[in-house]
Amino acid sequence: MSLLNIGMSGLNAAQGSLSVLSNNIANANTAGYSRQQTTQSANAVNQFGGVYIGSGTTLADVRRVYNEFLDTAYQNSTALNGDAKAYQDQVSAIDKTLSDKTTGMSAVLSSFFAAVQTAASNPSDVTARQVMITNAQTLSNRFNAISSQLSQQKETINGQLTSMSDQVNQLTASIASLNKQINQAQGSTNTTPANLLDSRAEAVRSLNELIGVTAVEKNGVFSVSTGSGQSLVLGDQFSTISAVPSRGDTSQYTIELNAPGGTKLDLGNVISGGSIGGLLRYRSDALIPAINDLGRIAVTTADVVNSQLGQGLDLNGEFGSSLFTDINSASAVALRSQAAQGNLGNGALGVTIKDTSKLTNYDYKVSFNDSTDLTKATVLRSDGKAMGVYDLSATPPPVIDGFTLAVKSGAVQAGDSFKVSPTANGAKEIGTVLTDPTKLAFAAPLLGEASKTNQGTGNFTPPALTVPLDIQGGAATAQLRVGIENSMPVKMVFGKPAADGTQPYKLNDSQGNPIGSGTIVPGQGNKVTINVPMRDASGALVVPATSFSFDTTVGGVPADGDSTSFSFNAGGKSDNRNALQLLNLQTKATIGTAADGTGGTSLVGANSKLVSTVGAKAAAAGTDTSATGALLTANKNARNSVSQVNLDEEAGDMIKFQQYYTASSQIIKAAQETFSTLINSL
Amino acid sequence: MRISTQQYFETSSTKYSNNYSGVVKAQDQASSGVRVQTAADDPVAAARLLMLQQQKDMLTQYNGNITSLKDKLTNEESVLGAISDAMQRATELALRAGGSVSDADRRSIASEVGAIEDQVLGLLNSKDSSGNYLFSGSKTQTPPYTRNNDGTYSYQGDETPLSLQVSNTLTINAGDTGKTVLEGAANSGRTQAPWLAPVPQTVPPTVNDNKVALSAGLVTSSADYSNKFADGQPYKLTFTSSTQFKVEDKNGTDITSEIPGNGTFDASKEGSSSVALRGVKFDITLKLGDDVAPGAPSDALVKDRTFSLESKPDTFSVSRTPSNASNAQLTGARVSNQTDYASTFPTNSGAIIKFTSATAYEVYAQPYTTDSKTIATGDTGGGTTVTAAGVTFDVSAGPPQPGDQFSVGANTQKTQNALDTLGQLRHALELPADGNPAATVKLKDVLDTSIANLANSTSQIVNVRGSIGARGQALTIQSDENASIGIANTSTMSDLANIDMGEAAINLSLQQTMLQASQLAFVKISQLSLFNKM
Repeated sequence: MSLLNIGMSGLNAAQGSLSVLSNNIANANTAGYSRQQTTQSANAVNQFGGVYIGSGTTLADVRRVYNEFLDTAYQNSTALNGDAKAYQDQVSAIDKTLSDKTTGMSAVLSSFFAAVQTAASNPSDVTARQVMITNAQTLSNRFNAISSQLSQQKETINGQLTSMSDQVNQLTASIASLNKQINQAQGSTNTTPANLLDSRAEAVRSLNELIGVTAVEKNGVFSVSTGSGQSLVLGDQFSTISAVPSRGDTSQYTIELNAPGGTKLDLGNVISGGSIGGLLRYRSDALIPAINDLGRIAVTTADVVNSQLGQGLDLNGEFGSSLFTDINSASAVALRSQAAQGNLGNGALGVTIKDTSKLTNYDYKVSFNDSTDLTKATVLRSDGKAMGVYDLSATPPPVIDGFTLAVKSGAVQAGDSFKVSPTANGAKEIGTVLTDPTKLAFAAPLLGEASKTNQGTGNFTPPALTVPLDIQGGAATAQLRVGIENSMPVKMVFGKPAADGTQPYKLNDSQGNPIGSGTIVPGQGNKVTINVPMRDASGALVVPATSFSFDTTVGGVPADGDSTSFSFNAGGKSDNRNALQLLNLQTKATIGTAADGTGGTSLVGANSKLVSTVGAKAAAAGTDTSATGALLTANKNARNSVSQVNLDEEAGDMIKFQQYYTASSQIIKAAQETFSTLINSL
Repeated sequence: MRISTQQYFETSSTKYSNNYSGVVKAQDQASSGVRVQTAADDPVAAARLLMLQQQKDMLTQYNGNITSLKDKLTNEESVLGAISDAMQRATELALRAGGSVSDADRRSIASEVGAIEDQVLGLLNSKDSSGNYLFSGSKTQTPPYTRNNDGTYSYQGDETPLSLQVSNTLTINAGDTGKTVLEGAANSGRTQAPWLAPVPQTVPPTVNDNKVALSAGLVTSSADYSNKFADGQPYKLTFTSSTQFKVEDKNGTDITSEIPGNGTFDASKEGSSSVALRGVKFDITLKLGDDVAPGAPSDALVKDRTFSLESKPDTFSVSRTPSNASNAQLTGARVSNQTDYASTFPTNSGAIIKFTSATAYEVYAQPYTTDSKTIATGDTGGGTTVTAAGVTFDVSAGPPQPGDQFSVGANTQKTQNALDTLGQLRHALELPADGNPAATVKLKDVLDTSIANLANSTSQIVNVRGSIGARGQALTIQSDENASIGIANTSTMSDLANIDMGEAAINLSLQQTMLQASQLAFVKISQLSLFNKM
């Protein structure tokens, strides 16, 4: 009996081992496969007389070569690397768009100002003015184009979040199902089917590529949770996630967990790791600030250029028109805020920009918490700074970081909140509205003319309004413009120097009525502010009496009786004083000035800051990707070196088991030969 | 360490693709020469590059402005040179006219002066290559000088020359206005010395026989004129003999001692027969006739003749609009209220008087448009005087009809532009003066004044030309500075953005070697499989 049996057991064991080995070879390239090893044990021994003789071998176990610690590390680093890669893929696209020398904002800003420069050096040349308008169009188109690329990326992220959520749901479903199968298999035989375990580990790893999860094994069953412990899989149960428009801003999708019992949890702020984590992080960390930053440059460009043009006179001798769209148009004011879903009131919040130099690139959350006083708004900035509580009914309305808030329609209720993005739509909304080149205001509104009867050496600097015109001022500005047109000229007549060295002057309106007087010190620069009572178009004094003022610096030594008249500059077709002021905007610090008016940067400076910020993020993302990539490789190598198949090793084993098989066959042959020797000898 | 087969292949392929992308990047940098392809390559350098690029663009623009400024200034300089030459010629002609005796000679000189006048007007109304007037300030579509009906000239431009930026901090005027070129020239002939009929009538004739003549006076010192002469005028000069005179100011105070020579003169000697009173020089000419012996007879003839030495009042040119319904004329314009005149009258542009009825009138500043506002209103009350902004006119051939308009230009005596000087000179030369002592005196006054005023104008143009030269020099300096900033800018930009070619080449060949090595190693090692040996 025994020899044949022993031979057979060896043969079986060799065959089994060869099968496992073949399976290893066949699965050398299967993702998540852990190589298997056979374990043999010696069969029971039989007592023959005083000795015990073994009775062959049994294939005791097919063991899965697996190290849980290494696998967990591998899975964690998968999540980190997925996050970093998703971030880098996105950021490198906008880095390229923004830093391109020929298509970036800086180039078109420079060409716009070059066109202003050319037009300013030939103010009556309509062709040069037309070129300036064309360049303005190019500028606003480029803002629109870059803005649309950035918003497209926002859309793409929304789409990616949706499809990734579906994949996550498939994976969590299969993990739950595997949990169930494993539980059943274990329950009956108390052995673990290696392929199920491998599949489940691979599913968790794939899940980690999409979303950072923690898997905890208990009694052979995986519990998978994400974020700060929100459960995705519990035993054979799983919860789906879905990508839905977020509550505060419907243009940005967030991830919502559909927890058992129908409750929905917003995971947007807690997810980290995996592609989803990377996309969410990229959106809040790089994309939204970049959109806001670009919008801020666009809003500021439109505002400062329009304001400056509003100070001057065009070729027709009229006050200038705006070149770019009004930053505070009704639609722009409404677009800057979004009521949170679930607000009880139907109030809509209008956001009016008052001072572009104070704008930031943050978003704000405005909530009405005081049920006793719904004019009190609590403002929280997206960098976490509590801006305070503002009374929206105050006159003038409080200015928060350069903008004001007002309930435009409907009414708010306690608990309502709004997301305010003052600059997010800036680059999208900017457009060139002026088409008539003669309406570009290059001339200054006021003009000084010394009387030709003057004998002294008195001189004066060109008059300039003490307070610039507010192009957003509405009726007040219109009245002021009419006033400036109709209340001039003003004549300054110098008297005889007094004994104390000063020289008096009198100011008369066009009808010779005195409107003021003062003294200068001859031979020095004397800054004189002249207040002019305003008149309406019929020439009558405005009721109630209003006045405007302008400044000039009187120098030299005027003689007694010398006069200078300051008038409305209706005929100065080639006056380029306002155009030169416009040019100054190229280098003037107009963005991000501190409360006291210091600091800040120019338009191109702000753009280069944006470019370098995004560039730095792209560079950091690159470093991050290679770092997490290296970590992933190391962990993967560690795991694979234990669990993956080495064909050479298998080849060696194959030879070993072939020889083992041959040897076992020889035992059977020996048994047969022994048996035939016995038969033949009979 | 145990290495799985898949791990080996994976590692190899990762290493290979890393090496490959390294080679591609090295090749890219070497062939483009640019190190910073996107901001991610060097965020700080990228930001600086954008700012430097802006500076570079601005420098290009400034250089364009400098070129166009130089062009404009050269153009202006040549026009001013031609004007100077013309005035030089006019001065020569005026000097010649002073020496020549016959009316015919003077008439031929007058026609030449007229030609110069036209030439100077043409030069002042020159246009640049874009068709803009050179000297009208910002009113480039308005000719700077126009000739009025009465032969005077008015400046129509403003005082705002075009200025261009040539650096961040420097703007330079691209031209000068007629105001600075011509308008401010002081008038040397702003005084007059009319003969005063003696009261009561005594020995000297009741009409001016011009035997004793006093020139209208030349201002020799503007400062003395403004500070002293103007205060005391009108002065009364009374001859006490044929060698002595006394001068009293408006208060009757004898100020003879202020005058060099203390009231003595010698009419027979050139240079010692003038009255230098407070910055103004009046020449005394005695033409008593050959039959009057020196000494007592002469003294008797000269004694008690009196002259008033005074500033010329501002004059006004009035023209009636041809479409006026009536034939009314406004004449005899004079300043009646100095304060109103100074505070209200638009001296530069002139005024329009518009009758709204036979007696009521409104005053507007020129240019008159339908939107113009009145600067004064008044009513003749049926009388014959109109007073507008401190100026009184006599109405003749009235009454005016509603809608009648008169334009009034002020002509100040304090300054005189060269065109007016030339016009005045031409006019004076055209009038016959031979054998007419009064006309001769007047002609001499005009010639003296013209020569002095042409000199004033010329010196003003010289000043402007000097300023053009200074601007040209400033442009040259700025141009050099811009060039050196540009060079520094370019070199910084290339330092930041461009690759060191040597380094790039070395890097490229290093990357290449690494790629080759990994390829070779992969090929060799991947062949090693135990299965091959079985």
